[in-house]
Amino acid sequence: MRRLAIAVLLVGLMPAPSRGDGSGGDLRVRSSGPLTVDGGLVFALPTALGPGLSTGFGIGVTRGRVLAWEARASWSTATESSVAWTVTQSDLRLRVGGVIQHTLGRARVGLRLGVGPTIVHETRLRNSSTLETSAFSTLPAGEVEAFVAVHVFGPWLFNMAGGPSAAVDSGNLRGGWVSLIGVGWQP
Amino acid sequence: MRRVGLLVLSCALSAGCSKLEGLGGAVPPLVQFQVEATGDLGSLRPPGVTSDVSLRIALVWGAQWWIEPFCILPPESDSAAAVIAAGCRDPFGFVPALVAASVPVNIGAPSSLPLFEQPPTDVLVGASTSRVGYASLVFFDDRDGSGTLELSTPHSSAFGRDGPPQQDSVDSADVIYGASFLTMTAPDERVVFLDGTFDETSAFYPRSGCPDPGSQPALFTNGFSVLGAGGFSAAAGFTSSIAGTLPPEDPNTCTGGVPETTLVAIGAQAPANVNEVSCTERTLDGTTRYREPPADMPDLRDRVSACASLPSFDAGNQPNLIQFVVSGRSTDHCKGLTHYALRGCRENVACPVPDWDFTANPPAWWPCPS
Repeated sequence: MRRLAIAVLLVGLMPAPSRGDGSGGDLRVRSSGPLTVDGGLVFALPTALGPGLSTGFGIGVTRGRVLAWEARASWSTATESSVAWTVTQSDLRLRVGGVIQHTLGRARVGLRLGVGPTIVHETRLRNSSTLETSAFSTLPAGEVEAFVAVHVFGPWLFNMAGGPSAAVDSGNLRGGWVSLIGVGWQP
Repeated sequence: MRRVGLLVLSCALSAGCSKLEGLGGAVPPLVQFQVEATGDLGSLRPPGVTSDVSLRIALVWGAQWWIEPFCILPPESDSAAAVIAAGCRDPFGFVPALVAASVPVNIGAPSSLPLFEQPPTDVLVGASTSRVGYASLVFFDDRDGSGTLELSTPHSSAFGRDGPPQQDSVDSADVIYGASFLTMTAPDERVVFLDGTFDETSAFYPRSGCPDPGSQPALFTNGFSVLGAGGFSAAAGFTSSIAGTLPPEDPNTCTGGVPETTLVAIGAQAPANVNEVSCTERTLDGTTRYREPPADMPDLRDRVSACASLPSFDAGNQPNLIQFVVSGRSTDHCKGLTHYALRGCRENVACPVPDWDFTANPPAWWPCPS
């Protein structure tokens, strides 16, 4: 997982072949299409674990201009311990939603709202024993994220996003937060 | 990536999802021991006790303890022998350190005793890769209704001003009726916790001659087991100690079993015979604490006393002093001794700069040669 995340990051940072026309060089913003693909590292509060930091990666596709739609998926995991338990929860967030965005110079800023299921896989190890249990649960969830995407060079962007999230677990609303830092590609 | 794939696939295949517990939820025990108290308490209850308040069985981890020399060297007089008989506990007996758990029991009915935590490291003996702890299952009447077994400590008789004040504790009201592991000189069934390999040279409540517990992983649940041994004679114990070896057990008496399926039956005995299993010791390293004689004669009623030389194991390194040794009272829950010396320090009677020195002018009540 960590290797994949690093690979995603490195792909984003890898210099693109120069397609300069002699007037703007590599730093010229040449992307203006409605499609953006982004990915990066995800840091979030674990959906159902309570304390801790869930880390992983995420990827998303956005299509549109000022108003756009998007599909997004992220996976992250966290491990926490108490006297009795060591618990690992992996969260797979699947989202669809809408985006409102605005161009400011080289950057795009906006808000996005995503809703969808969060699939949580939980592994509980009873400390000092061999007893281990696991469980799956699918929770309805959503989040509102503010984002900034800065054109770095060519079609490549540097992305940051973050905001509050919520999920319904056994009838209880669980608040949280989620963030992403990574790269985008806008042809 | 494989985990992600499995995650998606698993949830796609699972029509109903289970409840997430996180760090909460019920905590299952690490191990459950099967215990049973047997016998008739009617004739065993101490004077003044006509009924039981709450019969329970407790799991009590044992301490590593060395007896003081005065109690194991040959007595130099009849009066010294009487003091040893009245004030010294069984040198091969189980010495408690910590009460870990207890459950209510009915006589003749098996009960489960769950244990939720490993023993703390201070009751384990050995290196970090080969630590072992032993516990005794103690059958008692919880007369103070505390829900657990309270341990008691011996009481010393009054002494002078030397050293920090000693907090004397009240004897536990709990009445002891038996234990699965009372002494190494009788058959026992002990709870074992083994962390790593077993090192026989730790000599912690040794059961030499029995199979290495570390080579029997099938007997253990999360590091816990129930092992039994037939015991060795006191003479064999002393002989082996002098020879620097461990007293051998009869291999045919060695038993072992998984806690969940091994029923440990604890027969009721007279409390006077088994009280010591609930008696802690103030010092565990075998050293003798010498006391400054008080100005006034200590209350010696219901105590046995004697004048005796300082034990030196023939090393000749003890000062030429005669100590006055006093036992505890017959009504005390635990046996114990108080050692008075006319000169010395609390932890070293042969200290070069004594904390007290009455050799030239002993208290008027001092009964021994000065």
